[in-house]
Amino acid sequence: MNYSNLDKKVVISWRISRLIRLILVAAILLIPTIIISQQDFAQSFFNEYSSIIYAIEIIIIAYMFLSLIIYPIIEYRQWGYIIAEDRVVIKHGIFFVGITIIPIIRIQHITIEQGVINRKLGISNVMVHTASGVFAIEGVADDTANSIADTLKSRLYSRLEASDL
Amino acid sequence: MEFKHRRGSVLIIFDKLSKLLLLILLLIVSVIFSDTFDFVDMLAPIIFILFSMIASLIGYCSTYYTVEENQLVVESGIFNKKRLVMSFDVITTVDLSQNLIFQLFNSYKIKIDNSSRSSGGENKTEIVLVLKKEEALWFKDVITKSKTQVASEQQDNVVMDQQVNITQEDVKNEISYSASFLDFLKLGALQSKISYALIIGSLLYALITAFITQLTDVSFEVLVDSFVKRSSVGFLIFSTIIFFYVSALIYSIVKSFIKYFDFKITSSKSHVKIQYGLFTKKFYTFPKNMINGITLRQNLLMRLFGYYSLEMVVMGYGEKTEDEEEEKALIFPIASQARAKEILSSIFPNYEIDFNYYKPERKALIYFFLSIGNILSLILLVVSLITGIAPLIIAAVLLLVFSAGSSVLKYYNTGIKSSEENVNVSHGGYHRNISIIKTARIESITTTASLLKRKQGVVSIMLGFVAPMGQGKIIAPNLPIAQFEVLEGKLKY
Repeated sequence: MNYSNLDKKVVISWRISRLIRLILVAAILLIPTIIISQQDFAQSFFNEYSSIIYAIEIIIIAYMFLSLIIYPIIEYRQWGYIIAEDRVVIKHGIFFVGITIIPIIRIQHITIEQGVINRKLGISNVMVHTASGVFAIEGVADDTANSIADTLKSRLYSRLEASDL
Repeated sequence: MEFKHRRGSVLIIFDKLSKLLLLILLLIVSVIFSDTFDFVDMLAPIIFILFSMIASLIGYCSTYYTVEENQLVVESGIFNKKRLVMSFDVITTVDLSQNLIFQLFNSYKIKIDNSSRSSGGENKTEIVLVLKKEEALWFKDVITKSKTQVASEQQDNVVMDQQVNITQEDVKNEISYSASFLDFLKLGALQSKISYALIIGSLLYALITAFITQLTDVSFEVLVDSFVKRSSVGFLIFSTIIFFYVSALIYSIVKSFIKYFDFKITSSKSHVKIQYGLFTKKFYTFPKNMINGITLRQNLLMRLFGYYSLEMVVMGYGEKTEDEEEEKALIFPIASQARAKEILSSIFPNYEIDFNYYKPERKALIYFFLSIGNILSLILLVVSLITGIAPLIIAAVLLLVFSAGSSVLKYYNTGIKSSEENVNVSHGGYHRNISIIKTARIESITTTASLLKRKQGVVSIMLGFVAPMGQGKIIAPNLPIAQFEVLEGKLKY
């Protein structure tokens, strides 16, 4: 069976999330650095090490900016899911790709989650709950998410009936 | 016997008190040995102890228990009332224990647990009460017999008369294993000593400082100073290591003896009972069908001498208790390989230890060395060489050797064997774990690998299964991808 792709809008969602993280990290790194550098007690330390400190901070911010541009594209290409008769298969990751197999009969319940950004984009995350953990199919269109949830529920009930549980 | 809308025993307030035993002992010691008795200094710990007892008493007065036909009802609270209903079907463990005070009054603390967890990670459905011996044993019997009956009904459609026979047959066919004093010696000798050495060091320093100052009017530091001046560096290091190791060894043996005193595991057809403890006696009962796996643990010393510690994977056993003490889900404290096989084959015949694992291939060895520990140690070594600070270089080299040793051991320890019944996974470096998980209880399997590793056919395999918090995942790194496909084929769909 072939993997189904996520909705393309998930790339926008991931980029917005990374942008928010980038802004927060930049603020956490740069603002205290600038404030402390203006203080008298830190002048001698900053005169000696300011270039190293700013270089490290710029490298971190630059890396996060590049990852904002590139990583969502790589991640979108590597993400996929299969809803088979008896199992759910989820493929995900950027540098380290993980493939998870969940027997449908082990599913406890299914939830559909939607944050503020995803609500505007019309995409959702389908969360598959087992007794040992939660697995996510991220960034599918709203109607696809509902369809996945309904399919999983009906296959789960039919498997439970077949096994007399 | 009826148990309707009743409180447990008021002795429950002494359950919290036993956890403050160290504080009370320190209070008594400081009163006896201090030069001047100052009540104001003692006020804070006394208030803390009294407050704990009063809080327990209020909790006791506002909590009522009712045993119904198939469920236990707990009503509690004064302002914020709660009603907890727990069906006997979902109860995974019924534990009995006795601290010294309970033993004096012939009472037991009962802890009842199921497999549910709240989102905060605390176990809010755990039920704890204290009862007189007859009531406690009746309580346990009602719950465990009810579970036996339910299990039998589901499996065999047996009517009420025959369920009584199954219970009697259970008693007739019991198998037991007990730990001997030699086992406690081995356990104490082979357990890790580092944490014990630190505890002993701190305690001895505090005690010796207090006593020597009292007896000799000379401070401990002056005595140590004169000893150090008269000894060579080599002798000092050697004697310090020997002193701490021997102290930790004695402490470890004594602690093992006290904690696991009279350890006994008894198995019937449907249940496993475990009891141990000298000052705090513990009694656990588990339905066998609730046990999801077995783990054999070995630290490096145990590995050298061929011993294992046997533990089980069952919801409600082997988690942090309400007082944050970590409780080991023990089947047997220490056993040789032959004895471990014997115990498992007679008590848990469905769990077979199979040491013929599928191991990582030679080409995967490099990936064991690409670990965070090795990388950080290398970075530290490079930095230390650049700075030229000798102690830092030595520390970095030692760290690198330690980390590389762990990588080599992980390569040799890792393995997997999948069957229709169980999945055997061996993993770990200096501490090796062999986990035998029922294939039917595996909830998910995951492979993780970089693109390059996956092209070479090398993946890390993770199993997700039903277990107490933090124990429900096992990772076997850098195995052939074919083993994941075999495991995928054995899963129950």
